[in-house]
Amino acid sequence: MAPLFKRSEEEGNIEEMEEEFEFEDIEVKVKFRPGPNHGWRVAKDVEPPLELVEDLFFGNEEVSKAAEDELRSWIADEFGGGYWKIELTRAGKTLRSKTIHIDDVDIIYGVNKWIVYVKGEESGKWYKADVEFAHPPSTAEIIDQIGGGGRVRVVGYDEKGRIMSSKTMNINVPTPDWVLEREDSFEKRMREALKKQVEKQQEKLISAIAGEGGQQTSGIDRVIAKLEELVEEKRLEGIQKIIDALERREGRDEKKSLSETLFIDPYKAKVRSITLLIEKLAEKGDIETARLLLNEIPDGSSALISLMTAGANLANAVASMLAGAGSTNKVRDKLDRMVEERIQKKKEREKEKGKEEKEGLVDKEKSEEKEMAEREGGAWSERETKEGGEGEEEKTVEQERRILVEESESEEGWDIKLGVEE
Amino acid sequence: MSDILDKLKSTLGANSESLARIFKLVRQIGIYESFKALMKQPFFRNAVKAKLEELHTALVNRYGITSESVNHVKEGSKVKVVAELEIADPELRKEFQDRLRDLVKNIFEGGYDLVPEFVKEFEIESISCKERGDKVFVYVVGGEKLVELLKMGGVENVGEEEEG
Repeated sequence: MAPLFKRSEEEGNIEEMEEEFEFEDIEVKVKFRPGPNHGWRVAKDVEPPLELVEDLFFGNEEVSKAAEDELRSWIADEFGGGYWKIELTRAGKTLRSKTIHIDDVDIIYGVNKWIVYVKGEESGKWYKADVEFAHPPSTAEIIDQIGGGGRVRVVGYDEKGRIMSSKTMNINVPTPDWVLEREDSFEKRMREALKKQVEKQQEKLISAIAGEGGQQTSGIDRVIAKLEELVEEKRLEGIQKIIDALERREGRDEKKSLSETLFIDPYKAKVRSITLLIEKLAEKGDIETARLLLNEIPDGSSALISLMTAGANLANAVASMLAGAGSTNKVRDKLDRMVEERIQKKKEREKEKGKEEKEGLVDKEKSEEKEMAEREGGAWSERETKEGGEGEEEKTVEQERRILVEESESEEGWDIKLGVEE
Repeated sequence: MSDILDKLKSTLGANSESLARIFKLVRQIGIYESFKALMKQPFFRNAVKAKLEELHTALVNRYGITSESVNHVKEGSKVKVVAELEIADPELRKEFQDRLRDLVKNIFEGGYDLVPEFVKEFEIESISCKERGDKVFVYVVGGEKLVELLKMGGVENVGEEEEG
């Protein structure tokens, strides 16, 4: 595409080209999107100064850069932040385009309202504040309207309720009281739900002990009633049965394994002790404590986990030991065989050849030995050399690496460009 | 540098030899992977968290930072991390920018251990700072790993720009 305008290098004026008369057909289109994941929408009401557009597309590098900065500033002031695409089109075809990203100004284009959410520290939930803004709220406005700060998210919505912008920030003043209250009620609800779960578990446990086939009861009173019934009538029959069974097994098999001594016996002892305590408490009429103590009866899973872990560790240790021993034996066997073969070979050769030849053989064997030693240790020495080499190389690289710092300053601030010189 | 090393030594209870060994190991496995592995240790994670909170409080009090936020934007293969700080007092705003520039320069020109590795591994291209209204914007252009590092360090919601 030939340029529509050409700037004369000598005069610095715009020289009309052949195609210039077509400029009237060219349309300047501005498109907008709030973020990279949004689609472009045509911003018909945004009409940038044409002379800046002209400089942007047809000026030399310096002029174009200056025009871009001016356009950026103009758009930021008039329409806010976001991604802005300026296009030159003719008959629906895009001739040139340039995207300007403004990230230091709030997105306001297309935003209908701003809603503030505050994060609850305990629950991590976002609570919607009962306030809406018609403009991007400042920090002071947010503090004033929501009554505090903390972790705050300001979300901008368009007229259809779609999210156009979202900014999360820390406002360094305490969280509003209403959020703390809601957090308390949230915590309270969580506690109640947890309590209900505990009750349900207790009911299940009692039903199971009573041998009622998992019949479910509801309410703490019924649980206590069941427990009383259990203590009075059945006298912990279920638990006693378990203990009896365990004791019978003990008597039958006197030879205990290590795992039984370490894990099963302490488990049994704990169950027995707790059961006796429950009995005593129930006899004294302290039903509530007895009920609580029932929860302490271990279900055997901890003993099982300990057992499995110990087993796995033992298996690993044995496997490592065997692997180590195996490899050592293998190497030793190999070496023994090699030595034997060499002695045998030497003897045979000694018999066959004379003294002079023998000397020659010694030399040869020396070289053979060397060769063998190299074969044996080759892999390691090679690796060591390589590692050493890499280490040295790394050290050299380390020493040679230097950071290149290029600093520039402007009215707005400063910029430091970095690079690593190898 | 010696100050930083001394602090590190006293914090970790480490001597120069063990620090040298740590640096060597970090070089071998990379800063990101090392940090990731260390952050899995509750002791280290809690220490980092506590230090960052301490630093945040000190900065908020020292410069009167009313609010701050961190976002990131993808720019081709690079990522631009944008930290936005609201400082009402213009003098403090200026002081913040100047001291930040000095700190950045000292770190990158000081010839410290691991800094070249850091720049290379996280593909740090530039660090800049500018003022607009009562806000200070700090930009760091680097590789995508940089965002992961920030998230690991406890900077929440880095990447609001990505939200659709």
